[in-house]
Amino acid sequence: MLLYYAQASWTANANGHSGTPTWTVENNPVGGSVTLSCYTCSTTEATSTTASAGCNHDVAVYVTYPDGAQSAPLYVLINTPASTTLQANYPQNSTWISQPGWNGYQSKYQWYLFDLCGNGLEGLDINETFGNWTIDYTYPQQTNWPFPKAGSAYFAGYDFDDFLAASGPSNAVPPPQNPPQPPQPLGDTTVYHDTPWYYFAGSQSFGSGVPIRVDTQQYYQDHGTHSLANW
Amino acid sequence: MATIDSRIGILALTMPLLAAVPTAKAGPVAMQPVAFLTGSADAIVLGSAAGTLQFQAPGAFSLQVLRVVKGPASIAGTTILVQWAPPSPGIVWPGAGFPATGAGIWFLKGAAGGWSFLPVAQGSVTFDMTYFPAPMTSLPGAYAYSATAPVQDKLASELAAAIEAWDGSFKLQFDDLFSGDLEDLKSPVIHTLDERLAASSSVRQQVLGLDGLIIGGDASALAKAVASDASFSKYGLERGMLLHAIRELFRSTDPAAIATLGQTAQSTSAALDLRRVAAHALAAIHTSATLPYLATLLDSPDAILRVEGIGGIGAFANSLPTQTPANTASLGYLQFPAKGVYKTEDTMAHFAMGPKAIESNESFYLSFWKAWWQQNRASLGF
Repeated sequence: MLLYYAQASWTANANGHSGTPTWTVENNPVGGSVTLSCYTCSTTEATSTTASAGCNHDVAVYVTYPDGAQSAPLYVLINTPASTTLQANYPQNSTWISQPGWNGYQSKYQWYLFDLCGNGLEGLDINETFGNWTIDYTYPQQTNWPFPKAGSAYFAGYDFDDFLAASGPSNAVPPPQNPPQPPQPLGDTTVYHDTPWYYFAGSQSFGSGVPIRVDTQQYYQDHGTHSLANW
Repeated sequence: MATIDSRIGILALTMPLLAAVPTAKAGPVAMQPVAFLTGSADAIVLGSAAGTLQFQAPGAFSLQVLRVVKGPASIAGTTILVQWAPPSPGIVWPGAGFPATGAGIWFLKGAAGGWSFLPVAQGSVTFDMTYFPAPMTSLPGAYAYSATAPVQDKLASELAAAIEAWDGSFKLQFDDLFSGDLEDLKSPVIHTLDERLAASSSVRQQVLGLDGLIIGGDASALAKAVASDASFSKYGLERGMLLHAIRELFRSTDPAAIATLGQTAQSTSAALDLRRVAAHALAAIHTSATLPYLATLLDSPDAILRVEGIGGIGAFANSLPTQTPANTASLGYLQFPAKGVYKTEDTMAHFAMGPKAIESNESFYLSFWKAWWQQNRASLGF
């Protein structure tokens, strides 16, 4: 399973000079930054503290030997998951009948995740967290739909999915409906919504990792939505 | 009489309280890589499931096995019991039970007293997402295999037949196969599938076939996809997969492929999203043959095309390797080598990729790389 390492080990090459070198780090005040485990030593552990401002090497590192000799800079780029783009023709709304005689839907969103350089990322853990749920359907009586639970998964590929789904019998309040077949429009009966909904990359522990999406998830009677396509 | 009316009234009022509680689901659902499933399973079978399961309790369902792809051949033609463990937390399912039915390709693990199964998807999965749906029929002649064929070829044949039988309705399992996962089986059967789909009378299948061929680096498939793009608009989902394959996976340095990518990126008659993915592939490849096309993009009115031009020329000048899925994960495609023919302190200082970095100070990058191209194009043979 791929992890985004936030640490690296750097070793100075003396190249004929003697003594213990001193490390100098030029961080980007509005971008990448690292701290070192030691600053006068031959080998140091660098830990990234913030990602680069964009896809350029915005941290420079030098070593200086006691005789004044300074190395050429080591340019460092600290990459991170940076943006998501909704795949064409998503969301996909399909019928979900979880028990015979019931109706329902599942709305699937599929995003591509890109790094700072605009390249697709694959092989990441994903988790979601929910914010506050607000019930929209209160008349003639309050909905009896249960709130869903947050999930997590490891995605081997480029595409990162999220489902919003409901299925139930005809006497549920309100009864979940199958998505209408186009060109019939989707319904506008809201059941409940959750905000802020977060999607994190890099961990399956809820709330851990890099936030890659935040929006509002809305459950309707016949489909579900996320409020933002891209982030 | 009045008493009876009253009782009816009470019944009417209490009925809503008996309303059954539905099921709600949220969360990610991720496909397991087919190559991983193939290696992990003790048995792979084509079979039909029957039974009823409780969501929040272990259970078992029966599986009538038609063919065995991997594992003991003796279970073909028999009905086996498969144990079910409650899956992910993303589903709230207050109902008592649900039907465990469906026909397809199942991945099984040996378990005490029988079999358990490996779901092909993980996360907030429902039962119908746990196998590849496939018809319980004999295989088409093109996909027939012998008992001694490698497991990857057998599975590829079963998947290929299932994909050809797929009517295009929403199937999570199939949606995710066309991003390189099928190719990871490394079976020649997948190439057969791609060619058959590309030659299909169904435009939807054509797009999927071309997608697979493009992932395999087929320059003629790329040319065909570009030429036919306008006719693919009705199949947005499949076209989206194809564009993604060009953008992220097509890295051929074949001169014909470079020319197709370059001409597409420059073409004002091509769809803008197609131009952008072609430009991204060019920038990722960034061999010297791509440079004239990338340089032209520096003058494009489209900001994303300019970004690709800047990133691609900068990657060439700094001797960075071609960007691929493998070196994206390792960040190897961003590591400057110690020396390069055109690499200087200036080229490193002006290196940037992607809109976030470049659009923050575009003129800084644009003017440098325009000048760099003019200074170096002759020595590069252009």
